[in-house]
Amino acid sequence: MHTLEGSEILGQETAVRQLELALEKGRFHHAYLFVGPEGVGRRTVARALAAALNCQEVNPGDRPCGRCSSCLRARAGNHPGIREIEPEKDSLRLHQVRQVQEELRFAPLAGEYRAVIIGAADKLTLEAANALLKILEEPPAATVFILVATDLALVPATVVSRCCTVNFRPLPEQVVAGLLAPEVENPLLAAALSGGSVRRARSLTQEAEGLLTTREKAINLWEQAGSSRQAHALEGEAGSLAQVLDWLTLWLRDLLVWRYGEAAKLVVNSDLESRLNQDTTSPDGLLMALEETMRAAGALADNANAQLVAGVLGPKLVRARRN
Amino acid sequence: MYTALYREYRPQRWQEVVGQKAVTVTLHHAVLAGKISHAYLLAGPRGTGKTSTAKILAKALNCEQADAGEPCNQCSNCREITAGNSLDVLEMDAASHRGIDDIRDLQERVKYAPARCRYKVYIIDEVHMLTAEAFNALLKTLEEPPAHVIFVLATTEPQKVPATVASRCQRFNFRPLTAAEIHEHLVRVIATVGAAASPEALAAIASFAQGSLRDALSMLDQCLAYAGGRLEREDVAAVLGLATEEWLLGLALALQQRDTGKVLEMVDAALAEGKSASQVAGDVLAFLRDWLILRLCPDQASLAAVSQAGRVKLKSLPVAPDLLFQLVTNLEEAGGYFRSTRYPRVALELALLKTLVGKPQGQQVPVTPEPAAESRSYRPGAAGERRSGEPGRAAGSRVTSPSSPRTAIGAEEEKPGARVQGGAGDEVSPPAEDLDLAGLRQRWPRVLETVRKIKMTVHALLVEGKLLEVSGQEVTLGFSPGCQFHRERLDMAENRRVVEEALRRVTGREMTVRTMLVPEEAAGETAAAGEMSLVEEAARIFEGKIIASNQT
Repeated sequence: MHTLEGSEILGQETAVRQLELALEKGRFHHAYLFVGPEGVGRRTVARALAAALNCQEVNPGDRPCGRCSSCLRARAGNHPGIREIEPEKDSLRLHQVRQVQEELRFAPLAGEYRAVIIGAADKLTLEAANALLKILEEPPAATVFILVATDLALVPATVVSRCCTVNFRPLPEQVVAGLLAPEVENPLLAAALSGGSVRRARSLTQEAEGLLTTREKAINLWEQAGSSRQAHALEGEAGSLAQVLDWLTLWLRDLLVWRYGEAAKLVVNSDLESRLNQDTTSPDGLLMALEETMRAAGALADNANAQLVAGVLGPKLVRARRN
Repeated sequence: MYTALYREYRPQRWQEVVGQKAVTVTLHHAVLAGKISHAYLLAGPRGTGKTSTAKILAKALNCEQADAGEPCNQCSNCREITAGNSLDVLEMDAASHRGIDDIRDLQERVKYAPARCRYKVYIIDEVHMLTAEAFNALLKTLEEPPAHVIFVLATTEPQKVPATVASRCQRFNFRPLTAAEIHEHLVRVIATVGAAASPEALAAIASFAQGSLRDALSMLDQCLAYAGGRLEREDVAAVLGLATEEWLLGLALALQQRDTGKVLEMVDAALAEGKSASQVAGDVLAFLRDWLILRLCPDQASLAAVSQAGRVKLKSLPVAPDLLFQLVTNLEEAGGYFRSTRYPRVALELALLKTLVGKPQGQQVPVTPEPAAESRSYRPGAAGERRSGEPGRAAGSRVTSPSSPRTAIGAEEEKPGARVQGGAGDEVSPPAEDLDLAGLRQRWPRVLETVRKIKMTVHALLVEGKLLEVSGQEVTLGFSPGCQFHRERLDMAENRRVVEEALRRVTGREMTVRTMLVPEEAAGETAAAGEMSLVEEAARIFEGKIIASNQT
């Protein structure tokens, strides 16, 4: 299978193979649930799959061809048989699901498949998810549902039970780096930090201050955290706290992995070997610092006040560093 | 278009419903005897057969040529009901029609006689989603509907159905299916479809389905599409992203040996295969549960989903239950981070490392002030105030002079390599790791708790004692002169046995208890040391100096 633009789908061999085989063998299920992190190609595959169902190419292996009228319409986003719904203000609501039910009530155009792509199944409200159940279990003829989700645990079990779950994995670093290469200065580092998500890698490289400056800031913060005069240094970074905390998380993790991992390849900041060697914080201190940093990042993600989060975390880091 | 297995093989007769004998037999007999209630509430988890049973009931009641209460599935009524276009059997999706207007609409139509069938059957699925007003509007009709009307309400969340509604219905509970029942059914389906599958593959699907037949059939569908010829366990693992048993056993070995490098590598390998960190954590948690069963309740080994070979391997790993409990706690805790962090794998790694290299964090009931002081590892130069006979953890298992200050590095030295202990083939609870004073002190609160459960009075005696020394199989307890009475009572054979029994339960080792008198002032000093460290900590936090300390 190819993307609609005709390029290859990278790094998701198992997932793509599964879908191709189901198409070839005529065992195509009426509901799929694509699970995986952001930015690894779930939606790309969902769109390609939806287009492939109606592609006019003769050879099934070449669908979607990206050239036939059906594929062209799908590419332009105005194929009548392909419907995408996305969360409205952070959640997928009941009225959106009802609208889909309403549309599916009518028979499809002759000989065409209909595909409903539900953009974030983990953002379905309780009411919307329940309203989806009946139609997801027994949809009208020639209708396929493709649900996309990041966290399987947030999708109601009743929905999961009606779908075939397809796992999408984080992309290998080389793949991310390869995709970034033309646009970015140091694609390898961005790839290592991205956790296997192209989208995340892109947004990392677009950060205002640049990757390396923020990293330097975070590492310096930690290295100087030994003195309590530094306890409030973090508050100065409140503006870009999320990024600093991300880097701090990775750095602390690397320190631990460096010490206990024995395999240097697991370290993200592999270019800073000497600094990794220098750190003498106790293991308990590192564990504590990492946990507190992750907790702070969580609070920040939950809309806590950045200044306060920094104010709370700073002294804790000082304490951990001395530990 | 292809029809999914779970739709294709929906049960159409009472006998075909898997694993719900209590429900199907009762309903079947009710139909036979003509003792039909006017309202049923079918409750149970997803994929256990609620909607299917409702349809079978509708067919059994309306079939033109029913054979002993079983629908024929041939007559026009049966066929229409199966296809869902019968005029008289109405399947209503309460989740999308949940308002009071939808119920009023229903009431409006209830009064008309059925067009072709004997009974008008309303199947209200996902009934828990009706609004409060809608439920209340339904009450009167539900209690006394016209003679030709039968309501069948189906829900996965019966607790959300108001009591006033539930009390008007006959309630039937559907239970989650056992893995064996699912397995059996999968074998039948495979035979009907004309495919081939290895028993291990089906067993893996059956256990992964968590009691839901629909989940199992969805997975089977997916796996059959993927597998080349015969369906093997590897295909299932690839499609479902299951952790293989080899991987889990490898991780178990690495955890037991506290080989952090290996643990990190294995986690990396699992993530590279495309599992999310939360999935890996879930797999490991499920496995820890099995491991704990095998370790603590070998008689119930059948409850653990581990192969015979895996069981033998696990049994040969001497692991302290505490390590497993700690892992469970830490992984559960990591679960909280999976949603908020951008690096879920770090949360997973943190949980594992914390268990292996971090200080154990038991529920500390501070019997002596010492455990509390222990946890402040950054206490500088406090050694002088420590009373002799109460060595810091770093001092190891012997009673030594406490001159070695506890340093941060000390904790690292403790990082044990492979601590495998031979000997003492106690079947019930095989010997744990080497147990030193620090280790026992860590578990002391649990020993006390266990003693309390066995015999309250012994607990009262034991709390006065101080853990002084552990050497080999002997535990020495110290009592101050004021507690002479306690010591004597504890020395009585029957009371000593209670303590020894508790020690055996907590540590998994046979130990004997010895008591001795210790000078009064030693005990007093310990308390002072505990308080001193508070002052010192304050001084440390504020980077101050202690000029005078005024405490009595």
